[in-house]
Formats: sequence, structure tokens, C-alpha cells
Amino acid sequence: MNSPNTQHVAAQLRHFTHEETIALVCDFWSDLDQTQQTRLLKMIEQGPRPLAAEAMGLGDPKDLLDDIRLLRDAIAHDHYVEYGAGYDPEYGDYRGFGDDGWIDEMDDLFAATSSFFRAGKWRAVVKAYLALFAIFELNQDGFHFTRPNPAAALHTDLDEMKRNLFIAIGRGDPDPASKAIETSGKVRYYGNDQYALLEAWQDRAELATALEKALIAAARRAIDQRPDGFLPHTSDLLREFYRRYRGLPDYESLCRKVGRRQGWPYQDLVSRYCE
Amino acid sequence: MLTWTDDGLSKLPAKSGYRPMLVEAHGQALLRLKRPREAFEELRALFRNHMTPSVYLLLREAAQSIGRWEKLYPSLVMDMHEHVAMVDWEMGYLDEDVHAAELMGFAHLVESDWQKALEWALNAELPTGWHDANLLKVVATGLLRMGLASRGKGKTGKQPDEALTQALNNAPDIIRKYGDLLESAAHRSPARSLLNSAVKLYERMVEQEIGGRDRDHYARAGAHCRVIRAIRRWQGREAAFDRYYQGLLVTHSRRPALEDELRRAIEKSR
Repeated sequence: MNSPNTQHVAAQLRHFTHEETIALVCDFWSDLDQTQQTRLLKMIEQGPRPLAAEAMGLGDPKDLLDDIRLLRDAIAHDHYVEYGAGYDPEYGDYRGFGDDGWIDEMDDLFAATSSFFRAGKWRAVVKAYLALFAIFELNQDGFHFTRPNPAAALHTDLDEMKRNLFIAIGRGDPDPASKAIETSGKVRYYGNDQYALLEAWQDRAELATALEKALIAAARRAIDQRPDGFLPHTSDLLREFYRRYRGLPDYESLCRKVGRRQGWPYQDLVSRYCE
Repeated sequence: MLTWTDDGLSKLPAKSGYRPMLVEAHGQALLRLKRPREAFEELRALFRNHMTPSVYLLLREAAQSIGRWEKLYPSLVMDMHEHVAMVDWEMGYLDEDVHAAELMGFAHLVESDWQKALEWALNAELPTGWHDANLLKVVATGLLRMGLASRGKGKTGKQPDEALTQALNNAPDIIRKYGDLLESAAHRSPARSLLNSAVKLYERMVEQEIGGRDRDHYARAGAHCRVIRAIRRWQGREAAFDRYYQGLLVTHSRRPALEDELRRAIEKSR
């Protein structure tokens, strides 16, 4: 948008609400001939431009992945931990001391990835989100961060990022259910929502069905049946899936399929009967 | 439900931790189907190894409906007492051990036997369990709930103040879940005695927290003091609290951090 005319149009459009902009486009559309309509339709179907990424000079997804890798390497090599590590009574925990700059950088990279998400670049988005979440895993390797809980230090809504990631997997992966389950196990403790996968796929019946099938298949393996113990993530997801979306007859069917090996389906069925 | 509990019990491994829950649900279903004798037998056997409030209350209901509660109650108390006595509290214990002790205090309260509950809480000398497991707190908040109900808003129109409401809202799980039963039991006991007993237990909790010798413990001691003051206000006995509070300050005059926390809790809040 460099010409004076386009700058003028952009300046005017800034005063429009979202609904007014949609109405304007629809009015404009109805006055176009068929060829022009087809051209505009193609542009719309391509999705919005990844403006946040472009503004950072990351218009190409490959550049984004390179930047994520550079940040990861910098953190791993303690570029930000300048003064060693130790106990911080303010946090009641150990952490590295130094430059907090990695927080803004990660926030920016999540924002850039999300702009590619809105642009519908599903495969690139999955790679980028996974690479970003994997940075947090460096915390298991030592004090590479200046905060005890790096995920909590970000300003980014990590639950929203996880939902975006699962939507992208649902649209871009050849075996979305398996990939999503594996990914959910890796990212569940970042942010607050351990069940972001269920949130992300709740309106996609075909994905939800595939997910349920894959989770039931995983639940055919026997688990340690301690009611207060930790469930494997696949069992935990299946349990939450049934809590949210399934009724009594479904629970009865689930008991027949995996009740003996999992235990908890009987507990949940009986609780449902008691409600 | 009977079909499914039977199904689960026939299929789950012998060591499955979900079995007791299914036995309990089975007993509950029998009760609802007016088969209390069978429910009684199952729940009685379950309670020996699974001393939870929900099993206890179902068993109580089954026993009452077949006229066997008077005889059963002392033997259940004995079971719980034996369980607690068997634990070597210094060597190590489980949460369920503390919960068994709490249940015994709660059981006494439900039967309006508040003196025994008080005696048990003061003399059992159990350590504090994980989470909110704490015998003193169970009996203290149970007595508080009973005391307020015994002279409740129906009679006087009086509403608990913020400190009392908070104490009840933060009561241990067993009191929050089954407190209604205590309110029914409260009407057979004098409010004054119930609340005086609650104060005794809160005073014991203050002592315990002071023994913790750090700011966090002192702050909790202050919070308990606020509840004591609120109870005394409810009773119209504020002078009794003033004497207790001044006594605390004098006794612990060499602990400025404690004094600071107590003043923060009492004098900076009304």
C-alpha cells in the first residue's frame, strides 16, 4: 500500500468497524463482473496476509522458523543468563539472572506464527508452534531462562496458541488424530487449559470422531488403576471427552470396550447414574 | 446401576482401586431399591477397609432403616479408634489415616455427642495431614456450624460476620459436604456449649501455629484469632476475647513478628 491512493483508502478504512468493512466488500463484490468476482474470491480464499510476520521481516514461513531456531539456540547457550543462576526468594524458586529480552522475542514469534495461522499456512504453522513450545523444554536442561516458569512469563495467551496449533493440525496433517494426541501430551502443561485439543476440535465432527476412536484404541492397554493416581494423557483426554460430550448410553458402551482395563469408566458411569 | 456395578466388580482386577467405589455404589443402589439388609452387609464389610464419610453415612442410613444403628454405632467408633491407634504417627502415615480420625470426630458430632468430639480432637494429638486434613479444624468448624445453627438466623435474625462466613467457607471438605447433617444434630445441643468448645479448639490451633515459629504460621494464628473474636462477638462475650488476646500478647511478648501478625489480624480489621 504505497501509492497515495491506497494510503488514502487505508486511512479511510481505519474508521470502519469490522461489520462495516464486510458490508463494503459485499457491496463492491455485487458490482463486479464474473471475472473480477472470481479474482476477488481467490484472494479471499488465500486468507489474510500475515501482517504481523511481515512487519517483523518474516514474510516467508522459512524465515520465521529460522528466527525461532536462532532464539532457541541463544537461550540454550545462555545468551540471556548473564549472571549465573540461584535461588530467588521472590519466586520461591531457582532461576537464571540476566536479560528478560527473550520474553518479548518469544511473544513476537508467537504473534508472527499466529498471523500465518490466520493466513491458513497450516503446515508451517504447526512446525513453528511446535518449535516455539519446544523452547520451554530447555527448562528441564538447566537454568537457561531468567524466570522459573518461562511459559508463565510470556504475555501471549498460550491456551489460544494451543487451540490454533490443534486447528492447524486438524487442517494440515494427514493423520490429524494421532498427531494431535501426541502434541497434546507435549504441550498440555503450558497455559491453563490441559484440554485445548478438545476445545479446538469441538465443532469439527469428523475430527472429534477420529479423536475418540484413536483414544479408545489407546485405552485398550491396561493401566495402573489407582483412583487418585495420574492417568496417562490418552486416558485423561478420553475421560474429559466423555465428560463433556457423551451421555449414559455412551458410557455403557465405553465400559464394555475399555472399562476392565481402565477402571475409571465404571466410576464415571456410576457417578452419572447418581446425578 | 446394580447391573453396572455388578459388571464392574466381576471384571475389574482384584487390586483395582475403583472396586471400593463400585461396592459403595452397589450398596447405595440396594438402599434406594429398599433392600437395606443387603446394603447393610455390603457396606459394613466395606467400611472396615474403606473408612470414608460417604460409606459411613450410607451404612448409618441402612442400619437405621433396619433398627440396628444403636448397636452398630459403638462398634464403628471402635473400628475407627483401632485404625487410628494402629498407626505409628512418628514413623509415617497416610492421608486416609488422618481422615479416619477426622471421620470419628465428625461421627460424634452427627450423633450430637459433641463432648466426645471435643475430647477426641483435643487428646488425639494427631499430626496435620496433607491438604486440608486436620482433625482439630474438622471438629472446630463442625462445632462452629452447629453452634451458629443452634442459635441461627431463624431465631435471632443474626447473620454470621465475614470472619465466621470465611471460616465456614474454608472448612475442611467433610464439613462443607455434610454440614447439613450437623445442623440437624445441633438442635439437640446448647449453642453456648457448642461455641465455647469451638473456641477451645481454635485456641489450640493458635498455639500450634505459634509453635511453627515463622511469619506464615503467625499469620495463620492471627486468622484463627479473628475467628475466636467473631465467635465471642456472636455470643456477646467480647470481653472474654479481649482477655484472651491480651494474654497472648503478654505470654509471647518476646516475639515481635507474632505480635505484628496478631495486631494486623485483630487490630487492623474489625
